[in-house]
Amino acid sequence: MKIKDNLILREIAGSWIIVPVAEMVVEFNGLMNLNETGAFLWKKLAEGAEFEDLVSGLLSEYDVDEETARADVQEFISQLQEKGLLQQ
Amino acid sequence: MKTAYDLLIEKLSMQAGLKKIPLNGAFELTSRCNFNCKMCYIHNPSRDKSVVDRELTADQWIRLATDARDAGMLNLVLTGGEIFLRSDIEYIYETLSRMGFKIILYTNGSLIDETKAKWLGRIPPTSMEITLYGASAETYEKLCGNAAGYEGTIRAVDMLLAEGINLELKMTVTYDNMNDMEQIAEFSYKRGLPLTIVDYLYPQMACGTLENCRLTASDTVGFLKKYFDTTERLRKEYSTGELPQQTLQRATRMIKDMEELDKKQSNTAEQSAFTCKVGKSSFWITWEGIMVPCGMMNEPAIDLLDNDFRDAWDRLCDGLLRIPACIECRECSLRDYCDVCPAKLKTETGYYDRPAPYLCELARISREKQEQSGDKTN
Repeated sequence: MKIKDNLILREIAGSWIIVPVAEMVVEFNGLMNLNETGAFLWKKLAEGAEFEDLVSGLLSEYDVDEETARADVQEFISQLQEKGLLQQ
Repeated sequence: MKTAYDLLIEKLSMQAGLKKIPLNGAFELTSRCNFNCKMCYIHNPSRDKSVVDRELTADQWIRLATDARDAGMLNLVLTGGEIFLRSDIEYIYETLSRMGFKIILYTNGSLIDETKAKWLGRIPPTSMEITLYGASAETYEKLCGNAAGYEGTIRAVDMLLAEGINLELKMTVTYDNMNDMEQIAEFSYKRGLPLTIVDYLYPQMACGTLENCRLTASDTVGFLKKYFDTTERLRKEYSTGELPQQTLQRATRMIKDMEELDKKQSNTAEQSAFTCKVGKSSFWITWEGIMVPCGMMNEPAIDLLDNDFRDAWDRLCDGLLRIPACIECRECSLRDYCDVCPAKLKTETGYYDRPAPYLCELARISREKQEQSGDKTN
């Protein structure tokens, strides 16, 4: 599970935004808004984290139970897949 | 209808405005142009070495972009002059395109050949805005002094579309090209491209003497009515697609939707003379590296060769707060019909806070036309 190249996470005016740049604009000419948790997961993904790493990351960083953490990670990954932001 | 993208941009703009973050920047990469348009304020000769020497270098622009990004810039317009005259435009654009901006390119399109179109297709900007100055080589010659520019621009539009580039078209209206409007609108409709009409010329854009090219207030309103009728006809004739619908909405807004605009202006008018994003979230950098509020205002002006970007931005915002609002305009009964701003007042009258007769006339006739139109409907 890896984020595609040429996607930049930026914090702008208090919002976390994914900006596609260069070649990636061909595939995705928009922006994606992430909440605080989404930005946390994105940074972990960018470091090479896998699904289980993301779940454990959420559990250690936030006050959530494992079931909720798994559901949140799954939803986040699904959104990225839906937008085509993950490598196959 | 607004897309999720539009809404996100609006949200960011609002947040940036409240926090005074320079979200929107325009880099005027050059003052040189291969056209010599009568109404243009920035068209130094293409090969003027003395002008080239005064332009910021590519690396200076990239450094400024880095500083602006660190301060919060997201939306970046690259404009001129004609940006494709710069021999280093590919280096500048490619570098900026990897830095995390949404880039919009302003161009006359005439210098874009197949190689450039393919290059842009590989690393596309968010969008490109191409100005059409007429619908024939004759109009281009008359208005821009460049007959070949017409064919070159038309070819460029189709090549860029073939590369999947997001395009928008603009038409700046003058007496020399106003009769080409229907053909230009048809050209844009056939291709599903939105068309924006630039119907106001600042005095410094006005062909030496205003009367030579700027439409009178009465002719402007008549032109917009004709444009609106044209877009309605074309919409029925060509398509129900999304983009022509956008064009229709733009036309509708220009004539009938002044009230909503004014309400928004009222909400922000208390703090600043400006109702736009100037001094809240937007800035302009001239080809010589001077930060100014917008392309039409030359004060406050802060030299970025001598000042840090963030300091310059703070000084710009502070300076703009000292610009007085036009109280007479705020209280005017024609306000709902008037697209007034301090930059227009200053260039029209020499003062920020005095009504400009041309704008007053434009508003008065707009109201008359709208009332007549309402009477007919009733």
